[in-house]
Amino acid sequence: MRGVNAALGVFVAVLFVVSIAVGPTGFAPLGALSDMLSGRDAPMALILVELRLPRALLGVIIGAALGLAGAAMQGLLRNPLAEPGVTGVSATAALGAVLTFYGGYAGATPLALPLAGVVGAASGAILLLAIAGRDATVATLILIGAALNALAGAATALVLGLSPNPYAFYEIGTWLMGSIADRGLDHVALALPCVALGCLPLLLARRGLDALALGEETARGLGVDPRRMTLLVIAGAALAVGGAVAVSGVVGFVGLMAPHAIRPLVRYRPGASLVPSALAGAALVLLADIALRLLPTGRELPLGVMTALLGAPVLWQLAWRARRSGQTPWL
Amino acid sequence: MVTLNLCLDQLVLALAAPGQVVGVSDIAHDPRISPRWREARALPPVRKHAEEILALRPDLLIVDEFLTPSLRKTLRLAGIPTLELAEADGIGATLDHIARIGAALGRPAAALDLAASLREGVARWTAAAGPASPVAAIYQANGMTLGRDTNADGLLRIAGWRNLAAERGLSLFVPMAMEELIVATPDLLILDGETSDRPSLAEQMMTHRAARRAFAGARTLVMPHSLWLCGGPQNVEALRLLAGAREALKR
Repeated sequence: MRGVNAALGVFVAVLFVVSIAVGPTGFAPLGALSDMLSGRDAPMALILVELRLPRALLGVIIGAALGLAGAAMQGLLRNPLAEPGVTGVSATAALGAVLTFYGGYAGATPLALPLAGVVGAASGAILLLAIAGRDATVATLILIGAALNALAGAATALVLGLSPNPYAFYEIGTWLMGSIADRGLDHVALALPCVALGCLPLLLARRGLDALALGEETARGLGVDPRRMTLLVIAGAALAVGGAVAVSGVVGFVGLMAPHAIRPLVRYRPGASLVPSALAGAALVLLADIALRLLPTGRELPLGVMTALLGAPVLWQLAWRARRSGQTPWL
Repeated sequence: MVTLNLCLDQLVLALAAPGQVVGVSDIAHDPRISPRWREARALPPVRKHAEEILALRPDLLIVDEFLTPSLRKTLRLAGIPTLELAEADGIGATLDHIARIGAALGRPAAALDLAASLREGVARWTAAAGPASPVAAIYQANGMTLGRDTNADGLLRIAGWRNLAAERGLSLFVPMAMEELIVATPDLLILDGETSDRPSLAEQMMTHRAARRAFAGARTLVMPHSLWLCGGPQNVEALRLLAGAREALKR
Protein backbone atom coordinates (compact mmCIF):
# COMPACT_ATOMS: atom_id res chain seq x y z
CA MET A 1 0.00 0.00 0.00
CA ARG A 2 2.57 2.51 1.16
CA GLY A 3 4.75 1.48 -1.74
CA VAL A 4 1.95 2.02 -4.25
CA ASN A 5 1.21 5.49 -2.89
CA ALA A 6 4.88 6.44 -2.79
CA ALA A 7 5.48 5.27 -6.36
CA LEU A 8 2.38 7.10 -7.63
CA GLY A 9 3.39 10.19 -5.67
CA VAL A 10 6.80 10.24 -7.32
CA PHE A 11 5.17 9.76 -10.73
CA VAL A 12 2.81 12.71 -10.13
CA ALA A 13 5.74 14.86 -8.96
CA VAL A 14 7.72 14.03 -12.12
CA LEU A 15 4.72 14.82 -14.35
CA PHE A 16 4.16 18.05 -12.41
CA VAL A 17 7.70 19.19 -13.24
CA VAL A 18 7.31 18.14 -16.89
CA SER A 19 4.00 20.02 -17.08
CA ILE A 20 5.72 23.17 -15.83
CA ALA A 21 8.55 22.65 -18.33
CA VAL A 22 6.28 22.37 -21.38
CA GLY A 23 5.07 25.54 -23.08
CA PRO A 24 5.31 27.76 -26.14
CA THR A 25 8.27 29.75 -24.82
CA GLY A 26 10.28 26.72 -23.70
CA PHE A 27 11.69 26.26 -20.23
CA ALA A 28 14.30 28.52 -18.75
CA PRO A 29 14.41 27.46 -15.08
CA LEU A 30 17.63 29.35 -14.42
CA GLY A 31 16.37 32.51 -16.06
CA ALA A 32 13.14 32.28 -14.10
CA LEU A 33 15.08 31.67 -10.89
CA SER A 34 17.28 34.70 -11.39
CA ASP A 35 14.19 36.73 -12.35
CA MET A 36 12.51 35.63 -9.16
CA LEU A 37 15.52 36.29 -6.95
CA SER A 38 15.70 39.80 -8.38
CA GLY A 39 12.10 40.18 -7.17
CA ARG A 40 10.85 41.91 -10.29
CA ASP A 41 7.90 40.88 -12.43
CA ALA A 42 10.35 39.62 -15.02
CA PRO A 43 8.87 37.65 -17.93
CA MET A 44 10.06 34.12 -17.22
CA ALA A 45 9.22 34.30 -13.52
CA LEU A 46 5.79 35.64 -14.36
CA ILE A 47 5.19 32.86 -16.88
CA LEU A 48 6.35 30.25 -14.41
CA VAL A 49 4.25 31.50 -11.49
CA GLU A 50 1.15 32.85 -13.24
CA LEU A 51 0.76 30.49 -16.21
CA ARG A 52 2.69 27.23 -15.89
CA LEU A 53 2.27 26.70 -12.16
CA PRO A 54 -1.53 27.16 -12.06
CA ARG A 55 -1.94 24.84 -15.03
CA ALA A 56 0.10 22.08 -13.39
CA LEU A 57 -1.62 22.64 -10.04
CA LEU A 58 -5.06 22.45 -11.66
CA GLY A 59 -4.01 19.22 -13.39
CA VAL A 60 -3.26 17.71 -9.98
CA ILE A 61 -6.32 19.15 -8.23
CA ILE A 62 -8.82 18.22 -10.94
CA GLY A 63 -7.32 14.80 -11.58
CA ALA A 64 -7.23 13.98 -7.88
CA ALA A 65 -10.82 15.16 -7.38
CA LEU A 66 -12.14 13.05 -10.26
CA GLY A 67 -10.03 9.98 -9.40
CA LEU A 68 -11.03 10.05 -5.74
CA ALA A 69 -14.70 10.71 -6.45
CA GLY A 70 -14.73 7.90 -9.02
CA ALA A 71 -13.20 5.38 -6.60
CA ALA A 72 -15.59 6.36 -3.80
CA MET A 73 -18.67 6.23 -6.05
CA GLN A 74 -17.64 2.81 -7.38
CA GLY A 75 -17.21 1.61 -3.82
CA LEU A 76 -20.50 3.00 -2.57
CA LEU A 77 -22.61 1.76 -5.48
CA ARG A 78 -20.58 -1.45 -5.85
CA ASN A 79 -20.60 -0.70 -9.50
CA PRO A 80 -17.48 -0.59 -11.70
CA LEU A 81 -18.88 2.15 -13.94
CA ALA A 82 -20.03 4.59 -11.26
CA GLU A 83 -17.94 7.64 -12.03
CA PRO A 84 -18.67 11.39 -12.22
CA GLY A 85 -18.45 11.49 -16.03
CA VAL A 86 -20.42 8.36 -16.93
CA THR A 87 -23.14 9.03 -14.35
CA GLY A 88 -23.69 12.63 -15.49
CA VAL A 89 -22.61 14.22 -12.18
CA SER A 90 -19.82 16.15 -13.93
CA ALA A 91 -22.28 17.33 -16.59
CA THR A 92 -24.73 18.70 -14.02
CA ALA A 93 -21.81 20.37 -12.22
CA ALA A 94 -20.82 22.04 -15.50
CA LEU A 95 -24.41 23.18 -16.04
CA GLY A 96 -24.43 24.82 -12.61
CA ALA A 97 -21.16 26.59 -13.35
CA VAL A 98 -22.32 27.69 -16.82
CA LEU A 99 -25.58 29.13 -15.47
CA THR A 100 -23.66 31.15 -12.91
CA PHE A 101 -20.76 32.27 -15.08
CA TYR A 102 -22.70 33.33 -18.18
CA GLY A 103 -25.48 34.78 -16.06
CA GLY A 104 -22.87 37.23 -14.84
CA TYR A 105 -23.04 36.12 -11.18
CA ALA A 106 -19.50 34.71 -10.92
CA GLY A 107 -18.07 38.16 -10.31
CA ALA A 108 -20.37 38.79 -7.32
CA THR A 109 -18.30 36.67 -4.96
CA PRO A 110 -15.35 34.39 -5.73
CA LEU A 111 -17.28 31.54 -4.13
CA ALA A 112 -20.24 31.78 -6.52
CA LEU A 113 -18.70 29.76 -9.35
CA PRO A 114 -17.40 26.75 -7.38
CA LEU A 115 -20.55 26.73 -5.24
CA ALA A 116 -22.70 26.59 -8.36
CA GLY A 117 -20.61 23.66 -9.54
CA VAL A 118 -21.12 21.93 -6.20
CA VAL A 119 -24.88 22.54 -6.26
CA GLY A 120 -25.00 21.17 -9.82
CA ALA A 121 -22.97 18.10 -8.90
CA ALA A 122 -25.06 17.47 -5.77
CA SER A 123 -28.31 17.72 -7.75
CA GLY A 124 -26.96 15.26 -10.30
CA ALA A 125 -25.79 12.83 -7.64
CA ILE A 126 -29.06 13.02 -5.67
CA LEU A 127 -31.09 12.52 -8.83
CA LEU A 128 -28.92 9.56 -9.79
CA LEU A 129 -29.31 7.95 -6.41
CA ALA A 130 -33.02 8.67 -6.18
CA ILE A 131 -33.67 6.92 -9.48
CA ALA A 132 -31.06 4.18 -9.37
CA GLY A 133 -30.77 3.42 -5.68
CA ARG A 134 -27.65 1.86 -4.19
CA ASP A 135 -28.08 -1.53 -5.80
CA ALA A 136 -28.88 -0.59 -9.39
CA THR A 137 -27.52 -2.84 -12.10
CA VAL A 138 -24.70 -1.55 -14.26
CA ALA A 139 -27.14 -1.11 -17.13
CA THR A 140 -29.58 1.00 -15.08
CA LEU A 141 -26.77 3.24 -13.92
CA ILE A 142 -25.50 3.72 -17.46
CA LEU A 143 -28.98 4.52 -18.76
CA ILE A 144 -29.62 7.12 -16.08
CA GLY A 145 -26.13 8.52 -16.65
CA ALA A 146 -26.72 8.77 -20.40
CA ALA A 147 -30.00 10.60 -19.82
CA LEU A 148 -28.45 12.98 -17.27
CA ASN A 149 -25.49 13.64 -19.57
CA ALA A 150 -27.73 14.35 -22.55
CA LEU A 151 -30.05 16.60 -20.57
CA ALA A 152 -27.32 18.58 -18.81
CA GLY A 153 -25.32 18.88 -22.04
CA ALA A 154 -28.31 20.17 -23.98
CA ALA A 155 -29.23 22.59 -21.20
CA THR A 156 -25.63 23.85 -21.18
CA ALA A 157 -25.80 24.48 -24.93
CA LEU A 158 -29.11 26.28 -24.48
CA VAL A 159 -27.74 28.57 -21.75
CA LEU A 160 -24.68 29.38 -23.87
CA GLY A 161 -26.86 30.06 -26.90
CA LEU A 162 -29.10 32.42 -24.93
CA SER A 163 -26.15 34.47 -23.65
CA PRO A 164 -25.91 37.87 -25.36
CA ASN A 165 -22.13 37.48 -25.41
CA PRO A 166 -21.03 36.65 -28.97
CA TYR A 167 -18.25 34.32 -27.76
CA ALA A 168 -20.38 32.33 -25.32
CA PHE A 169 -21.83 29.76 -27.70
CA TYR A 170 -18.41 28.81 -29.03
CA GLU A 171 -17.28 27.91 -25.52
CA ILE A 172 -19.42 24.80 -25.41
CA GLY A 173 -16.36 22.67 -26.17
CA THR A 174 -14.60 23.88 -23.05
CA TRP A 175 -17.55 22.98 -20.83
CA LEU A 176 -18.44 19.63 -22.41
CA MET A 177 -14.88 18.43 -23.07
CA GLY A 178 -12.85 20.27 -20.47
CA SER A 179 -9.75 22.43 -20.52
CA ILE A 180 -7.22 23.87 -18.12
CA ALA A 181 -5.46 26.05 -20.70
CA ASP A 182 -4.77 29.69 -19.82
CA ARG A 183 -6.07 29.42 -16.28
CA GLY A 184 -4.44 31.40 -13.47
CA LEU A 185 -3.74 31.19 -9.77
CA ASP A 186 -7.17 32.71 -9.13
CA HIS A 187 -8.69 29.58 -10.69
CA VAL A 188 -6.58 27.45 -8.36
CA ALA A 189 -8.00 29.45 -5.47
CA LEU A 190 -11.51 28.74 -6.78
CA ALA A 191 -11.09 24.99 -7.17
CA LEU A 192 -8.76 24.04 -4.32
CA PRO A 193 -10.94 24.81 -1.26
CA CYS A 194 -13.93 22.85 -2.57
CA VAL A 195 -11.82 19.92 -3.69
CA ALA A 196 -9.90 19.80 -0.42
CA LEU A 197 -13.11 20.05 1.57
CA GLY A 198 -14.66 17.28 -0.54
CA CYS A 199 -11.70 14.96 0.01
CA LEU A 200 -12.32 14.89 3.77
CA PRO A 201 -15.69 13.06 3.81
CA LEU A 202 -14.51 10.77 1.01
CA LEU A 203 -11.45 9.75 3.00
CA LEU A 204 -13.55 9.40 6.16
CA ALA A 205 -15.60 6.80 4.25
CA ARG A 206 -12.54 4.55 3.73
CA ARG A 207 -13.28 1.88 6.35
CA GLY A 208 -17.00 1.99 5.73
CA LEU A 209 -16.55 1.38 2.01
CA ASP A 210 -14.45 -1.71 2.73
CA ALA A 211 -17.20 -3.02 4.99
CA LEU A 212 -19.90 -2.12 2.46
CA ALA A 213 -18.08 -4.22 -0.15
CA LEU A 214 -19.13 -7.26 1.90
CA GLY A 215 -22.81 -6.37 1.55
CA GLU A 216 -25.11 -4.04 3.46
CA GLU A 217 -26.11 -6.59 6.09
CA THR A 218 -22.51 -7.45 6.91
CA ALA A 219 -21.61 -3.79 6.94
CA ARG A 220 -24.36 -3.08 9.47
CA GLY A 221 -23.07 -5.97 11.57
CA LEU A 222 -19.64 -4.33 11.53
CA GLY A 223 -21.19 -1.12 12.84
CA VAL A 224 -21.20 0.72 9.52
CA ASP A 225 -24.32 2.70 8.67
CA PRO A 226 -24.88 2.53 4.90
CA ARG A 227 -26.97 5.73 5.04
CA ARG A 228 -24.09 7.62 6.62
CA MET A 229 -21.74 6.22 3.97
CA THR A 230 -24.05 7.41 1.22
CA LEU A 231 -24.18 10.88 2.74
CA LEU A 232 -20.40 11.07 3.10
CA VAL A 233 -19.74 9.96 -0.48
CA ILE A 234 -22.42 12.17 -2.03
CA ALA A 235 -21.30 15.24 -0.09
CA GLY A 236 -17.63 14.58 -0.78
CA ALA A 237 -18.09 13.79 -4.47
CA ALA A 238 -20.33 16.83 -4.99
CA LEU A 239 -17.79 19.16 -3.36
CA ALA A 240 -14.77 17.69 -5.13
CA VAL A 241 -16.34 17.26 -8.58
CA GLY A 242 -18.30 20.55 -8.39
CA GLY A 243 -15.22 22.56 -7.45
CA ALA A 244 -13.10 20.91 -10.13
CA VAL A 245 -15.61 21.04 -12.99
CA ALA A 246 -16.49 24.70 -12.27
CA VAL A 247 -12.95 25.56 -13.36
CA SER A 248 -12.16 22.91 -15.98
CA GLY A 249 -15.47 21.82 -17.49
CA VAL A 250 -16.24 18.11 -17.88
CA VAL A 251 -13.09 16.01 -18.12
CA GLY A 252 -14.37 12.52 -18.79
CA PHE A 253 -13.13 9.04 -17.94
CA VAL A 254 -10.60 10.06 -15.26
CA GLY A 255 -12.80 8.73 -12.46
CA LEU A 256 -13.24 5.53 -14.44
CA MET A 257 -9.64 4.91 -15.45
CA ALA A 258 -7.85 5.83 -12.25
CA PRO A 259 -9.58 3.32 -9.90
CA HIS A 260 -9.41 0.53 -12.48
CA ALA A 261 -5.73 1.12 -13.09
CA ILE A 262 -4.80 0.82 -9.42
CA ARG A 263 -7.40 -1.72 -8.21
CA PRO A 264 -5.22 -4.81 -8.85
CA LEU A 265 -2.47 -3.15 -6.80
CA VAL A 266 -4.66 -2.71 -3.71
CA ARG A 267 -6.25 -6.17 -3.81
CA TYR A 268 -9.64 -4.81 -4.83
CA ARG A 269 -10.44 -3.12 -1.51
CA PRO A 270 -12.52 -0.02 -2.23
CA GLY A 271 -11.32 1.86 0.86
CA ALA A 272 -7.69 1.20 0.06
CA SER A 273 -8.19 2.33 -3.54
CA LEU A 274 -9.15 5.92 -2.60
CA VAL A 275 -5.77 7.61 -2.13
CA PRO A 276 -4.03 5.77 -4.98
CA SER A 277 -6.99 6.62 -7.25
CA ALA A 278 -6.59 10.30 -6.44
CA LEU A 279 -2.89 10.10 -7.29
CA ALA A 280 -3.56 8.10 -10.46
CA GLY A 281 -6.23 10.65 -11.48
CA ALA A 282 -3.77 13.49 -11.00
CA ALA A 283 -1.18 11.64 -13.07
CA LEU A 284 -3.71 10.95 -15.84
CA VAL A 285 -4.85 14.55 -16.17
CA LEU A 286 -1.26 15.86 -16.08
CA LEU A 287 -0.26 13.30 -18.71
CA ALA A 288 -3.21 14.16 -20.98
CA ASP A 289 -2.62 17.90 -20.56
CA ILE A 290 1.08 17.53 -21.41
CA ALA A 291 0.28 15.36 -24.45
CA LEU A 292 -2.19 17.84 -25.93
CA ARG A 293 0.38 20.63 -25.62
CA LEU A 294 2.98 18.56 -27.46
CA LEU A 295 0.67 17.42 -30.28
CA PRO A 296 1.08 19.50 -33.46
CA THR A 297 -2.65 20.32 -33.70
CA GLY A 298 -2.40 24.04 -34.36
CA ARG A 299 -4.99 25.02 -31.80
CA GLU A 300 -4.88 23.10 -28.54
CA LEU A 301 -7.38 20.24 -28.22
CA PRO A 302 -9.75 20.12 -25.23
CA LEU A 303 -8.45 18.08 -22.32
CA GLY A 304 -11.42 15.71 -22.50
CA VAL A 305 -10.38 14.62 -25.99
CA MET A 306 -7.15 13.18 -24.63
CA THR A 307 -8.76 11.55 -21.58
CA ALA A 308 -11.47 10.03 -23.80
CA LEU A 309 -8.84 8.62 -26.16
CA LEU A 310 -7.23 6.96 -23.17
CA GLY A 311 -10.42 6.13 -21.30
CA ALA A 312 -12.81 4.79 -23.91
CA PRO A 313 -10.67 1.66 -24.46
CA VAL A 314 -10.86 1.03 -20.70
CA LEU A 315 -14.64 1.04 -20.96
CA TRP A 316 -14.46 -1.42 -23.85
CA GLN A 317 -12.11 -3.64 -21.96
CA LEU A 318 -14.45 -3.67 -18.94
CA ALA A 319 -17.36 -4.65 -21.14
CA TRP A 320 -15.31 -7.29 -22.90
CA ARG A 321 -14.11 -8.85 -19.68
CA ALA A 322 -17.59 -8.82 -18.15
CA ARG A 323 -19.04 -10.46 -21.21
CA ARG A 324 -16.40 -13.15 -21.37
CA SER A 325 -16.73 -14.06 -17.72
CA GLY A 326 -20.50 -14.08 -18.11
CA GLN A 327 -20.86 -12.25 -14.79
CA THR A 328 -23.25 -9.64 -16.03
CA PRO A 329 -26.47 -10.66 -17.68
CA TRP A 330 -26.85 -7.24 -19.32
CA LEU A 331 -24.12 -7.71 -21.92
CA MET B 1 -30.59 49.77 -50.79
CA VAL B 2 -29.47 47.22 -48.15
CA THR B 3 -26.04 46.51 -46.63
CA LEU B 4 -25.08 43.22 -45.06
CA ASN B 5 -21.75 43.97 -43.40
CA LEU B 6 -21.10 45.93 -40.21
CA CYS B 7 -18.24 47.94 -41.72
CA LEU B 8 -20.05 48.73 -44.97
CA ASP B 9 -23.15 49.67 -42.95
CA GLN B 10 -21.18 52.49 -41.34
CA LEU B 11 -19.95 53.99 -44.61
CA VAL B 12 -23.35 53.67 -46.23
CA LEU B 13 -25.07 55.35 -43.28
CA ALA B 14 -22.50 58.15 -43.42
CA LEU B 15 -22.98 58.76 -47.14
CA ALA B 16 -26.62 57.97 -47.97
CA ALA B 17 -29.37 60.53 -48.38
CA PRO B 18 -32.35 60.20 -45.98
CA GLY B 19 -34.57 57.28 -46.97
CA GLN B 20 -31.98 55.74 -49.28
CA VAL B 21 -31.09 52.86 -46.93
CA VAL B 22 -33.84 50.36 -46.10
CA GLY B 23 -31.87 47.73 -44.18
CA VAL B 24 -28.56 47.20 -42.39
CA SER B 25 -26.77 44.12 -41.03
CA ASP B 26 -28.22 42.67 -37.84
CA ILE B 27 -25.20 43.60 -35.70
CA ALA B 28 -25.24 47.27 -36.75
CA HIS B 29 -27.64 47.95 -33.84
CA ASP B 30 -25.04 47.04 -31.24
CA PRO B 31 -23.45 50.19 -29.72
CA ARG B 32 -20.36 48.27 -28.59
CA ILE B 33 -19.23 47.46 -32.11
CA SER B 34 -21.22 49.77 -34.37
CA PRO B 35 -20.24 53.49 -34.41
CA ARG B 36 -23.49 54.56 -36.11
CA TRP B 37 -25.79 52.34 -34.05
CA ARG B 38 -28.26 55.17 -33.39
CA GLU B 39 -28.99 55.67 -37.09
CA ALA B 40 -28.90 51.90 -37.64
CA ARG B 41 -31.61 51.33 -35.02
CA ALA B 42 -34.08 53.27 -37.17
CA LEU B 43 -33.69 50.57 -39.84
CA PRO B 44 -34.63 46.89 -39.85
CA PRO B 45 -31.78 44.44 -39.14
CA VAL B 46 -31.12 42.06 -42.03
CA ARG B 47 -29.34 38.73 -41.70
CA LYS B 48 -27.67 36.96 -44.60
CA HIS B 49 -30.87 35.08 -45.38
CA ALA B 50 -32.32 35.37 -48.87
CA GLU B 51 -35.86 35.75 -47.54
CA GLU B 52 -35.03 38.70 -45.30
CA ILE B 53 -33.13 40.44 -48.08
CA LEU B 54 -35.70 39.91 -50.82
CA ALA B 55 -38.56 41.05 -48.57
CA LEU B 56 -37.06 44.56 -48.57
CA ARG B 57 -36.91 44.66 -52.41
CA PRO B 58 -33.56 46.49 -52.50
CA ASP B 59 -32.44 48.22 -55.69
CA LEU B 60 -28.85 47.71 -54.58
CA LEU B 61 -27.15 45.32 -52.19
CA ILE B 62 -23.74 46.15 -50.69
CA VAL B 63 -22.06 43.01 -49.36
CA ASP B 64 -18.73 41.60 -48.17
CA GLU B 65 -16.94 38.60 -49.67
CA PHE B 66 -18.52 36.16 -47.26
CA LEU B 67 -21.80 35.11 -48.89
CA THR B 68 -22.65 31.44 -49.16
CA PRO B 69 -22.74 30.11 -52.74
CA SER B 70 -26.46 29.37 -52.42
CA LEU B 71 -27.28 32.94 -51.27
CA ARG B 72 -25.16 34.34 -54.10
CA LYS B 73 -27.07 32.23 -56.59
CA THR B 74 -30.47 33.24 -55.20
CA LEU B 75 -29.54 36.93 -55.40
CA ARG B 76 -28.39 36.52 -58.98
CA LEU B 77 -31.64 34.76 -59.93
CA ALA B 78 -33.64 37.51 -58.23
CA GLY B 79 -31.72 40.03 -60.33
CA ILE B 80 -30.60 42.27 -57.46
CA PRO B 81 -27.64 44.51 -58.39
CA THR B 82 -24.83 43.76 -55.94
CA LEU B 83 -21.71 45.71 -55.00
CA GLU B 84 -19.16 43.43 -53.34
CA LEU B 85 -16.35 45.03 -51.35
CA ALA B 86 -13.43 43.24 -49.64
CA GLU B 87 -12.66 43.97 -45.99
CA ALA B 88 -10.69 47.23 -45.65
CA ASP B 89 -7.11 46.51 -44.58
CA GLY B 90 -6.12 50.12 -43.98
CA ILE B 91 -6.95 53.77 -44.62
CA GLY B 92 -6.18 53.40 -48.35
CA ALA B 93 -8.79 50.68 -48.75
CA THR B 94 -11.27 52.65 -46.63
CA LEU B 95 -10.88 55.71 -48.90
CA ASP B 96 -11.46 53.45 -51.89
CA HIS B 97 -14.63 52.05 -50.27
CA ILE B 98 -15.90 55.57 -49.57
CA ALA B 99 -15.44 56.57 -53.21
CA ARG B 100 -17.09 53.44 -54.58
CA ILE B 101 -20.05 53.52 -52.19
CA GLY B 102 -20.47 57.26 -52.89
CA ALA B 103 -20.62 56.53 -56.61
CA ALA B 104 -23.04 53.62 -56.17
CA LEU B 105 -25.37 55.77 -54.05
CA GLY B 106 -25.12 58.72 -56.44
CA ARG B 107 -23.59 60.80 -53.64
CA PRO B 108 -20.07 61.61 -54.93
CA ALA B 109 -19.96 65.01 -53.18
CA ALA B 110 -20.72 63.44 -49.78
CA ALA B 111 -18.02 60.86 -50.48
CA LEU B 112 -15.45 63.55 -51.25
CA ASP B 113 -16.32 65.39 -48.02
CA LEU B 114 -16.07 62.24 -45.91
CA ALA B 115 -12.78 61.25 -47.55
CA ALA B 116 -11.36 64.74 -46.99
CA SER B 117 -12.27 64.76 -43.29
CA LEU B 118 -10.80 61.26 -42.85
CA ARG B 119 -7.57 62.35 -44.60
CA GLU B 120 -7.41 65.41 -42.42
CA GLY B 121 -7.89 63.39 -39.21
CA VAL B 122 -5.25 60.88 -40.28
CA ALA B 123 -2.80 63.70 -41.09
CA ARG B 124 -3.38 65.24 -37.66
CA TRP B 125 -2.39 62.05 -35.82
CA THR B 126 0.34 60.79 -38.13
CA ALA B 127 3.57 60.30 -36.18
CA ALA B 128 7.03 59.50 -37.46
CA ALA B 129 7.68 55.76 -37.27
CA GLY B 130 10.99 53.94 -37.37
CA PRO B 131 12.93 51.09 -35.84
CA ALA B 132 13.03 53.02 -32.53
CA SER B 133 9.25 53.35 -32.39
CA PRO B 134 7.55 51.74 -29.39
CA VAL B 135 6.01 48.29 -29.86
CA ALA B 136 2.33 47.58 -29.25
CA ALA B 137 0.77 44.13 -29.00
CA ILE B 138 -2.89 43.54 -29.73
CA TYR B 139 -4.41 40.86 -27.53
CA GLN B 140 -8.06 40.02 -28.11
CA ALA B 141 -10.61 37.49 -26.93
CA ASN B 142 -9.49 33.86 -27.21
CA GLY B 143 -5.85 34.98 -27.27
CA MET B 144 -6.05 36.32 -30.83
CA THR B 145 -3.92 39.08 -32.31
CA LEU B 146 -3.99 41.16 -35.51
CA GLY B 147 -1.01 41.13 -37.86
CA ARG B 148 -0.29 42.74 -41.19
CA ASP B 149 -3.05 43.52 -43.69
CA THR B 150 -5.54 44.51 -41.01
CA ASN B 151 -7.12 47.89 -40.37
CA ALA B 152 -5.74 47.89 -36.80
CA ASP B 153 -2.19 47.31 -38.02
CA GLY B 154 -2.50 50.20 -40.46
CA LEU B 155 -3.75 52.52 -37.70
CA LEU B 156 -0.92 51.50 -35.37
CA ARG B 157 1.64 52.40 -38.05
CA ILE B 158 0.05 55.78 -38.67
CA ALA B 159 0.14 56.58 -34.96
CA GLY B 160 3.85 55.73 -34.81
CA TRP B 161 3.68 52.31 -33.25
CA ARG B 162 5.24 49.06 -34.34
CA ASN B 163 2.83 46.10 -34.18
CA LEU B 164 4.37 43.08 -32.42
CA ALA B 165 2.46 40.54 -34.52
CA ALA B 166 3.40 42.26 -37.79
CA GLU B 167 7.06 42.42 -36.71
CA ARG B 168 6.86 38.66 -36.14
CA GLY B 169 5.73 38.21 -39.74
CA LEU B 170 2.15 37.34 -38.75
CA SER B 171 -0.71 38.59 -40.87
CA LEU B 172 -4.46 38.87 -40.43
CA PHE B 173 -6.29 37.42 -37.39
CA VAL B 174 -4.06 34.83 -35.68
CA PRO B 175 -3.58 33.31 -32.21
CA MET B 176 -0.70 34.41 -29.99
CA ALA B 177 0.13 32.53 -26.78
CA MET B 178 0.08 34.70 -23.68
CA GLU B 179 3.54 33.38 -22.81
CA GLU B 180 4.94 34.73 -26.07
CA LEU B 181 3.26 38.04 -25.42
CA ILE B 182 4.83 38.35 -21.98
CA VAL B 183 8.31 37.30 -23.14
CA ALA B 184 8.21 39.84 -25.97
CA THR B 185 7.69 42.66 -23.40
CA PRO B 186 5.95 45.10 -25.76
CA ASP B 187 5.60 48.71 -24.56
CA LEU B 188 1.82 48.60 -24.80
CA LEU B 189 -0.86 45.93 -24.61
CA ILE B 190 -4.01 46.79 -26.54
CA LEU B 191 -7.10 44.92 -25.35
CA ASP B 192 -10.61 44.76 -26.84
CA GLY B 193 -13.44 46.69 -25.33
CA GLU B 194 -16.29 44.54 -24.05
CA THR B 195 -18.79 43.00 -26.45
CA SER B 196 -21.69 42.58 -24.03
CA ASP B 197 -22.62 42.98 -20.38
CA ARG B 198 -22.21 39.24 -19.85
CA PRO B 199 -18.84 37.50 -19.46
CA SER B 200 -17.17 34.84 -21.60
CA LEU B 201 -14.13 32.66 -21.10
CA ALA B 202 -12.76 34.09 -24.36
CA GLU B 203 -12.75 37.64 -23.02
CA GLN B 204 -11.63 36.58 -19.56
CA MET B 205 -8.26 35.74 -21.10
CA MET B 206 -7.60 39.44 -21.62
CA THR B 207 -7.76 40.07 -17.89
CA HIS B 208 -5.64 37.09 -16.92
CA ARG B 209 -3.55 37.80 -13.80
CA ALA B 210 -0.34 37.25 -15.77
CA ALA B 211 -1.30 39.92 -18.31
CA ARG B 212 -2.43 42.30 -15.57
CA ARG B 213 0.88 41.95 -13.76
CA ALA B 214 2.99 42.19 -16.91
CA PHE B 215 1.21 45.25 -18.32
CA ALA B 216 0.22 47.36 -15.36
CA GLY B 217 -0.81 51.03 -15.50
CA ALA B 218 -0.09 53.01 -18.66
CA ARG B 219 1.07 49.90 -20.47
CA THR B 220 -2.51 48.80 -21.19
CA LEU B 221 -4.99 50.44 -23.54
CA VAL B 222 -8.56 49.26 -23.99
CA MET B 223 -9.67 49.95 -27.54
CA PRO B 224 -13.44 49.84 -28.12
CA HIS B 225 -14.36 47.55 -31.03
CA SER B 226 -16.38 50.32 -32.62
CA LEU B 227 -13.31 52.52 -33.17
CA TRP B 228 -11.00 50.28 -35.16
CA LEU B 229 -12.75 47.09 -36.12
CA CYS B 230 -13.88 48.77 -39.34
CA GLY B 231 -12.28 51.35 -41.59
CA GLY B 232 -14.09 54.69 -41.42
CA PRO B 233 -14.22 58.16 -39.86
CA GLN B 234 -14.33 56.59 -36.39
CA ASN B 235 -10.69 55.56 -36.93
CA VAL B 236 -9.62 59.15 -36.20
CA GLU B 237 -10.72 58.64 -32.60
CA ALA B 238 -8.72 55.38 -32.45
CA LEU B 239 -5.67 57.28 -33.73
CA ARG B 240 -6.19 59.88 -31.00
CA LEU B 241 -6.21 57.13 -28.34
CA LEU B 242 -3.07 55.55 -29.81
CA ALA B 243 -1.30 58.92 -29.90
CA GLY B 244 -2.34 59.51 -26.28
CA ALA B 245 -0.90 56.13 -25.27
CA ARG B 246 2.39 57.12 -26.93
CA GLU B 247 2.47 60.36 -25.00
CA ALA B 248 1.76 58.46 -21.77
CA LEU B 249 4.79 56.25 -22.42
CA LYS B 250 7.12 59.23 -22.50
CA ARG B 251 6.01 60.37 -19.05
